[in-house]
Amino acid sequence: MMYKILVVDDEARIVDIMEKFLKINGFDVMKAIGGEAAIRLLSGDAQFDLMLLDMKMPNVNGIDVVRKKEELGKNFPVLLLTGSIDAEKHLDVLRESGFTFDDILYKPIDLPALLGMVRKKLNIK
Amino acid sequence: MVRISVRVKAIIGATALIVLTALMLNIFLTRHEKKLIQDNILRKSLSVTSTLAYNSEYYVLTANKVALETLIEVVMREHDVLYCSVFDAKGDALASRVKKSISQDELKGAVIVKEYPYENQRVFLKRFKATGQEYCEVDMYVVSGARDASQDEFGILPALNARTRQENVGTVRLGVSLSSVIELTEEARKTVALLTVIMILISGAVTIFASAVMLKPLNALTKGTHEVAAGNMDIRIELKTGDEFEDLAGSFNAMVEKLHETMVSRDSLANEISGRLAAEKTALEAKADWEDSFNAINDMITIHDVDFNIIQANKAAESGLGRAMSDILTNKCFTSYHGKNYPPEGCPSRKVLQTGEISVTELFEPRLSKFVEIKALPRFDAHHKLIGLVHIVRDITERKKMEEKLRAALKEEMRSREIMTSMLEDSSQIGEKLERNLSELKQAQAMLVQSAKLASLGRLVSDMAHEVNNPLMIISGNAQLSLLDNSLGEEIKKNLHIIHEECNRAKSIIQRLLMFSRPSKGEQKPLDINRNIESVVRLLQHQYGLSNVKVYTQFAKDLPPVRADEKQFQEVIMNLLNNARDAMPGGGGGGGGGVIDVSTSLDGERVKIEIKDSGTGMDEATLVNIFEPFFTTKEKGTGLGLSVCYGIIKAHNGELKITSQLNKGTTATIILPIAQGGI
Repeated sequence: MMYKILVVDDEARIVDIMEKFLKINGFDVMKAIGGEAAIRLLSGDAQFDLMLLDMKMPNVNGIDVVRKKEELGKNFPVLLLTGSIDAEKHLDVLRESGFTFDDILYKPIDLPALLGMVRKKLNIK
Repeated sequence: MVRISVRVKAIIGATALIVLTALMLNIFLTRHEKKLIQDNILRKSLSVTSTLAYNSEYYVLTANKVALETLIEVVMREHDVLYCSVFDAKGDALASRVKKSISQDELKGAVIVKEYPYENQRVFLKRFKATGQEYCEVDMYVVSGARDASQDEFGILPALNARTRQENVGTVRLGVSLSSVIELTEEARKTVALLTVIMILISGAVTIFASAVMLKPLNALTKGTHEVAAGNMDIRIELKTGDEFEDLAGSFNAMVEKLHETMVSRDSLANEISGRLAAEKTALEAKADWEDSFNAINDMITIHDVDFNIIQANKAAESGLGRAMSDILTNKCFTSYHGKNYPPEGCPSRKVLQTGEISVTELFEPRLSKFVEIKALPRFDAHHKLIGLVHIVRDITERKKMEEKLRAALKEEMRSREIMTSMLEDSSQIGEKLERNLSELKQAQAMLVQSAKLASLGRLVSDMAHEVNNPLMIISGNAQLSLLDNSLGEEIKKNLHIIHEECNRAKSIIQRLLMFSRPSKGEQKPLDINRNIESVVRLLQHQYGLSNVKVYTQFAKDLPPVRADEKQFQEVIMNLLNNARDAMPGGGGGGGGGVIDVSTSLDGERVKIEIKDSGTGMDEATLVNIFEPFFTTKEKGTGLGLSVCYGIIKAHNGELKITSQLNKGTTATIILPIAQGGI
């Protein structure tokens, strides 16, 4: 079975890197440039198994996306991406949604490490 | 108006009655007697006259004057007869005798009172007054007629019988005085008058006596009535008269008794009412007092029922909660206090309602930005049933501050004492200690400056990090992707590797810089310090062994846990150990060897970690700058190691101190507060 991963970032080049890497490793990928696009996709019929989500985005940020996802009753796991070290303050907000420090990846990301995290989240051995 | 007593009235009335009666009796008696006597005399006169007339018949017919004189003589013996005469039919006097003559003048006033028919003969009765006397004159015809032979005692029957019819042959006249009648009447009147006087006297005496007898009880009753009217309800009238007065006195006493009872019950009712009014007033005053006191307390006090409803709140609660009283009294306590729909975790009210025992909590209330002590006390009804609680919130911010100050003062005191003691113990080291204190002071000053620098640096780095990390991600990501292409030549792959590594280095520098300038608290959990140090030491021991550097640990037993982020704590220990290793002669890499002593101990409420090396130490100029970012004495150092350590320890409310003596070694001391509440 093919896992479907939604990649969200306001930087198109970063989304592209993720897409290429994940596809090489056998995942189905949907891209969203920015928070608004992510919410549009989440509101649609498409089903996802995992979301890679940038925290700091203009207009609609990562927290907004997580909130919307919960509102829509979508239960798939999320890995947070951030370029900033002070992600913890966001984490405090997101703790209610079950997030821990293990759910954060700091940019620039080591791609093999990302693959490991993705597999762990999806329970792939 | 003149007041006349009953007694006087009775006497006057009785007397008047008696006098009137006597008077009437007098008049009646006098009249009656007079008439009786008069009639008696008249009848007697008539009788005498008729007898005389009857006896004179013969002598008149025969004109026997002597015999007539004799007859008159007999008549004249009668006491009251004043005169007596016998006339013949022609009116000539045949015989006459006079005791007292009556003049013609006197006779003028004569009035015929009555005319008596007497055996078919006319009798004339005249009554007149003369010289103050009353007289009476009777004229009677002398009648002659046939009669029985048996009655012919004088033998004249034949002469008489010659006449066929009765006829008047003469007249007999008799004058009678009525003065005896007057006298007798006068006498009778006197007697009656006397009797009247006697009766008056007797009746007076009787009245006085009777009134005395009657008035005594009446007076007693009157006096009793006055007493009762004056309010003396104990009065009783004792009368043993054996009559209606005794009954009346008995009734009076019973009535007073009843009245007294009524008054007593009325008085007791009045007392009861006034008592109740007083009690009600007292209760109202007590309520007002209670409310005043309740509102005078500056602690926020609310009274709750068992369903968390606030049923009463004082002024302090009203202003403290910033809500209207009506709003407070219609909401649950957790809504008013915490703005929640359910009682929060650790809520003392809930504890009290569960356990029925007093519950006290101290906490920092962010809504009020104050330290508060919350005390909840159970309320029971008369049957010991839990009916709610009293909820008291006391602002203890000042107390907390005072405690803090006191603690600081005590600490300072202790430190001063320690210094004093050690100074006394070893006076030779005073100079050295002073020097060290001075150096500590300088260091502290440097740290203060550092803090200010760090704050502005932190903002800059934080903004920069995001902007730099995204391009780094693109560079690194693309390099990594390219490396996956197996068709690339080795030279290109090597270059791509270098790009990837350098990106990571840049990331690391930014992260360290961030961690130092704006240290995050990380994910703080109760941490076993000894175990963590042990694992770091074990990781490094092999590497150090190559440089002939030995690490010795001396851990305090039963060390309480410290609240810290595990990764960050391990990074600090690793940095400090690496610094110690690098401080060994020859930079640690030269194989000069050395010793690092790592020890932990409990210092009051804090844990102390010491990392002591036998390295080259630092001079003062170096020591002042060690926390400065990018300051380094190492060839390959970033100058961020100690800065990061400092930032992390500070974020954990701890202290990091470095003391060093040139050529003797350096000691790094970490002090961290122990975790509250255990692991």
